[in-house]
Amino acid sequence: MTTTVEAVGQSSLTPEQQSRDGIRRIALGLGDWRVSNDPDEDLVCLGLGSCVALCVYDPVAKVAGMAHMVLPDSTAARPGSSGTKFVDVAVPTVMEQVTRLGGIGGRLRVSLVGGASILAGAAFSGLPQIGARNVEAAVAVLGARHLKPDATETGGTSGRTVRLSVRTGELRVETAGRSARAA
Amino acid sequence: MSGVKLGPWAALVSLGTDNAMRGLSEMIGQDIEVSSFGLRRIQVVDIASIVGGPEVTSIGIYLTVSGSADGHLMLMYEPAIAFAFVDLLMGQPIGTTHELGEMERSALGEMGNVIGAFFLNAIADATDLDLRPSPPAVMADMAGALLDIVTADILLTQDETYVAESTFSVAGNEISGMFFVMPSEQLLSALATVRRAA
Repeated sequence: MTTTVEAVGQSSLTPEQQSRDGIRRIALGLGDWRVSNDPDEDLVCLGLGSCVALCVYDPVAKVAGMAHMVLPDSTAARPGSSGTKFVDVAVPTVMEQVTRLGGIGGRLRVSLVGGASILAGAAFSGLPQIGARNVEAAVAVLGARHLKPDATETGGTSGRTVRLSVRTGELRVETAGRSARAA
Repeated sequence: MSGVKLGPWAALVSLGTDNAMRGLSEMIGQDIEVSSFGLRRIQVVDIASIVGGPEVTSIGIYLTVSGSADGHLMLMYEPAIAFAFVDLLMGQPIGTTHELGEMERSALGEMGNVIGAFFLNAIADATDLDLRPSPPAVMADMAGALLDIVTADILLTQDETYVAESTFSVAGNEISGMFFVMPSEQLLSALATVRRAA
């Protein structure tokens, strides 16, 4: 089998070599994304607060995609600052690359994880609710492509780690102080 | 970043940190000896790597800065260090505190109040800027989740920020922690203007 892996990210894209059962955990930093059909990879976003992870999986083509999205809207950023840290750029980028590797729209399982308001848990107000806005933006951008998340683990006041298995499509979400569970 | 050199900003942060340690020393009634202080300019997207990675459980004390310009202050400690602070603040033997309840949050919040106010007062006095801290928020979570509070806002306008790391000793116990000082572009510009006029 020919394995093709597409990965475009920023400097913080770090393959984690600690493997379990020969599986490499590829941790995506802020603004990173990755699309893969390598069954020996898990795509991971660690410690999501207000950031949102877009998780996409085609169970037939066994193609997985993930993006670690930080802000909702690239048009609100300063000139010259764009890229996949923004939801409106990351979602189309990942979807196009998933399609390139054989993913088909009607088969895709799309999930959103993250978008918490950590400060709300500390009764702190006054900053914009970036987490909720990230989730809203992701749902809207997906909706424009006729896609609806079929699983979400969003909001709340706690950070999360999410792992997506390229081999099986299993999505695991962990929260600080709580054990992993399937989203 | 606005053409601001690390040197002048480092001097101001050092001044602020010294004053914050003075405030903390008064608060706990013990001498504090600063053994090291360093300031780095780093890429915002890499920030979690310097606290041991985004998944490490940390305790953060967060304040916003307002007045002449905006910014963020975040103190981050591994839980054992934060618990040691609670013990020092409450005058009990280090090793007594093992969890972050209401009382412990309140104690760390007070520490955040003092450090934020003393830090900003020193910079404000040196620059004639009006810099005010918000009430603090005290949180325990994954480091990445805590840092998202500030990185999202900073990334809207800039790709780099400053991190001060200080190590100090209190009553023979060495304590180290990160002090994220994240000035807005607006604040750096205001400082540059003030220093040019000086």
